[in-house]
Amino acid sequence: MNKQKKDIFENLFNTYYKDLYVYALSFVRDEEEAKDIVTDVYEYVWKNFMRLDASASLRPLLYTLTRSRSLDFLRREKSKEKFLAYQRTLPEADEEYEEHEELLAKAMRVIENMPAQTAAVFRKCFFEKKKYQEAGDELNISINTVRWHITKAMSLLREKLTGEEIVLLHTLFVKK
Amino acid sequence: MKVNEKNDQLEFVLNVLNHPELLQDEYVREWLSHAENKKLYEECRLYLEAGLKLEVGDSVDVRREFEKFKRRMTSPTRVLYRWTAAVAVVVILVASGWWLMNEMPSRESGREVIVGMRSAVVPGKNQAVLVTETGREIVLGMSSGMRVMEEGGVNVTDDSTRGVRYSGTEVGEVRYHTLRVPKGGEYRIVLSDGTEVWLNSESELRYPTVFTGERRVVELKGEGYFSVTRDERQPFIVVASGVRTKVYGTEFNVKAYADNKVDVTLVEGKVAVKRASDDSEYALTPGQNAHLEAGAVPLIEKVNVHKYIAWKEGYFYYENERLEVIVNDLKRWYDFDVVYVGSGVKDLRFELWSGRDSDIDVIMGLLTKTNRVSVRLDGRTLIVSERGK
Repeated sequence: MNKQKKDIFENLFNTYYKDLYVYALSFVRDEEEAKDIVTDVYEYVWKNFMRLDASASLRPLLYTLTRSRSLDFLRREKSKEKFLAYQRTLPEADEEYEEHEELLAKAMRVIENMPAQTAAVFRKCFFEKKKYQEAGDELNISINTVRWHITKAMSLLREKLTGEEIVLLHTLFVKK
Repeated sequence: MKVNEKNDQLEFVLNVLNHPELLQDEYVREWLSHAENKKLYEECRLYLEAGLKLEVGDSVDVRREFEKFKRRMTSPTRVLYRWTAAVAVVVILVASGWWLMNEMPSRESGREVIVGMRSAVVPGKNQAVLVTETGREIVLGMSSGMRVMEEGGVNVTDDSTRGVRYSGTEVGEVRYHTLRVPKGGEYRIVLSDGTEVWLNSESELRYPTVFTGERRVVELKGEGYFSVTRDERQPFIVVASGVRTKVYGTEFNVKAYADNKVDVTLVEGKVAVKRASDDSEYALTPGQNAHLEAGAVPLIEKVNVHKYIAWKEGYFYYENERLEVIVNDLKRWYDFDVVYVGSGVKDLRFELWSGRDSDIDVIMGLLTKTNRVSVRLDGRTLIVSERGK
């Protein structure tokens, strides 16, 4: 591999590694696995670099591979059975990933600017893998308050991202 | 999935996102097959991704990952990581010529043995028991990411696919726990310092709930693969059958099923191996295995690392290995007893490559096909006999 190609590859690694890692992590929720998946993706690209069209953006390929390998991992995690329900609908065009990155950036801004208590609930339920009850216990609030904050967080995100109010509110939260 | 969770779609989605292994559940799959549900799932995943991106922030050292990647692309052990989960099974009899298989043993003779072999003998799974200092026993492998206990400021969470994890920042009181993996099991544990240990079937690890003092010492019975978090000031020591393996941060395998025999295989980094009985210390370099046997000079040699750590990657892998050694590993995983008929049968040598999730009859069928042994199951007893010469 010549120097120029090596530089392009290194640049690809530096530019997308973190994004792909987070992308994989959002599927598999295991840091070690997510790293392995992204490394595998880069290994594939490295090995096939000569054949890949360097003029085209490699971003869709990187994302597509990361996604399909994450799903492959989840599929064989416990059984060989395939989970057909999750059809892979893979965006092919680069613009879709650009859009994806824009959405992410918007969502990040919303999350950063959430009211403190809503942010705390959001963080417990989304990242710390807590159930509503557990999150409530840890924050000393009732499960219904947890529910309210999560709905609020979703509503803030939706409004900014799609301009849509959270309309599913009532169907989503059927009281027991 | 509990019924009442159905009432709250959002909590349901979050639970699936947080425990992706649930995607295997029939109910979850059915639920996701509806377009609007999948949309909600994707939407929440996007928010999660955004949040993780903030959360992970600059903690990912891309430069370091790139260095690691370059090393991996030039390392001799990397082939291993590319083994896929696709189950491939290869058995070649080594004892009397590699190509004996070409003699094409009749299919009927193979099938004859396989008939009626469907039995209670099944591959192992993620299971273990956690024993606390007070003797309380907690069965692991039942939940997905739930806290199973809290003791002295240390949280213990358990997840059926990811294993048990110790975390907690406060330096509480040190307690000793034991993770016991039965026959037919394996389990992963993350210790309080972030060190990961994969325990093989019929193995035990005793460790403190937090590491204090100058050293991190754990005791192993059976087999474990260690990925030790680097800490130059606090060496990590594995004690197994009178052998101490000292490391600062590295990956290695320790196999110590017998009281007087230990194999330490180094994958990455550096370790020092020392027997309790003498003062000599042996340093290993990656790719080396130290075989220590009571009363013998330690044997340190370059080995095919895959052979020693294949189990951790989900494989059985042997090259030119004695049948007894192979069967001993199989019986720990599938949980059966064994009877050998014929004096030389244990010493026949085979090459075997098989997924650990293969049915035992697949492996039995292949052994049989070599035409050197016949293998059958009688209840939970495997009867291995020499074929007529």
